[in-house]
Parts: sequence; C-alpha cells; structure tokens
Amino acid sequence: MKRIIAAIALCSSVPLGGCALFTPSHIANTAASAADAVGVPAPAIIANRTVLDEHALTALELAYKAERLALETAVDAGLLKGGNATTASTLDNRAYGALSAARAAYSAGNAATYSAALTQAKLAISQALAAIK
Amino acid sequence: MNLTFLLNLLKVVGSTISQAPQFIALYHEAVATLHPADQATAKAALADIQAANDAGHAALQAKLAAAAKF
Repeated sequence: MKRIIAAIALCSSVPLGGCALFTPSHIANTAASAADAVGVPAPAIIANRTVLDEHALTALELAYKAERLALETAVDAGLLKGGNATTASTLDNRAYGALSAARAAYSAGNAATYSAALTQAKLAISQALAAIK
Repeated sequence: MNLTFLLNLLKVVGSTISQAPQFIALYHEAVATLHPADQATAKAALADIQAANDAGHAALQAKLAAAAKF
C-alpha cells in the first residue's frame, strides 16, 4: 500500500503525460507479462481451436485479390493510364498496407505468448495507421 | 460463408470486368477456400493466397508504373 501511495505521489508531482507507471503501454506490458507468468493458455492454443480467424483473413485476402485483378484487367484493357494509373497505384499500396496490418493482427492471435502477441499487435496498429495516411 | 465484401465489390468494378475469366475463377476460389475446413487445410489455403497476393501486388505495381507513363 505504501508503494502505491508513493507511486501516486511521484506521478502527481510530474505532468500527467510524464507518468510512465500508468501509460496504456505500461499497463498492457504488465498485463501480458502477468498472463505469461501465471500460465494462461497462449493465444495460439485458443486460436487453433477454430478456423474462424483463418477464414476471416482469407476473406480479406480474397477481397484484395479481387481489387488487384480489377486494376490489372483495367490496365490490360487500356482503361487505366497516366494520372489515373498513379492514383490507382497509391490506392493499391494503401490497400496492401491495410492487408499487411490484418496479417500482423492474425499473427498476434496465433502468438506463442501474450508478450509476443502484444508486440505484434502494436506492429499491426502502426501499419494500419500508416495505411490510412 | 461471408462473401458480402466480394459481392459489393462487383458494383464497383462493373459488369464488364466482373465477367472476366480471372473474376469467375476468383469466385470459385472463394467458395473453395471459405468452405469449413480443418486447421491445417485452412492455414495452407491462407498461405497460398498470401503468396499469390504478394507476387500479384508487385506485378500490379510494375504494370501501373508503366501505364502511368502514357
């Protein structure tokens, strides 16, 4: 209890953003480490009980395949060129970036430990944010 | 099976492109890969389409770069 009071006192003496003890990242890291330490079944064990996660990502991969086939067919037919081709290229890279984020999220769900899942989920989020810029 | 996204995409790409052989093959592929399967089969199907998309993305970007010059 004294340690908690001391931590609160320490945090209250600095600006809110400077309190490293209560940042979302710190809380998430602590929770993941605790889950690993007490032997909570790994994400991969739970994910392997169903094929729903594989089907969800497969549906997204199929959707991306449909998009790239549509663009490729349009280029082959001479319907897409010049500035429109440049715009299509940007949009395709954005879609591929979002797909990469979904793949990272799937990997997080199939990770061996919660700490590994957390690292991969952070990667997925950063990639998703980059994809929508 | 949830093909809503793919079906909605047809409205965007138009009837001409959606009747191309590649699209007809894609729908057959969707039916096959999204059919309930065991864990190993589902993972293998996912790995296959991911490899195809990685190669396809690179090829499409090369085509678009060439088309942008016209």
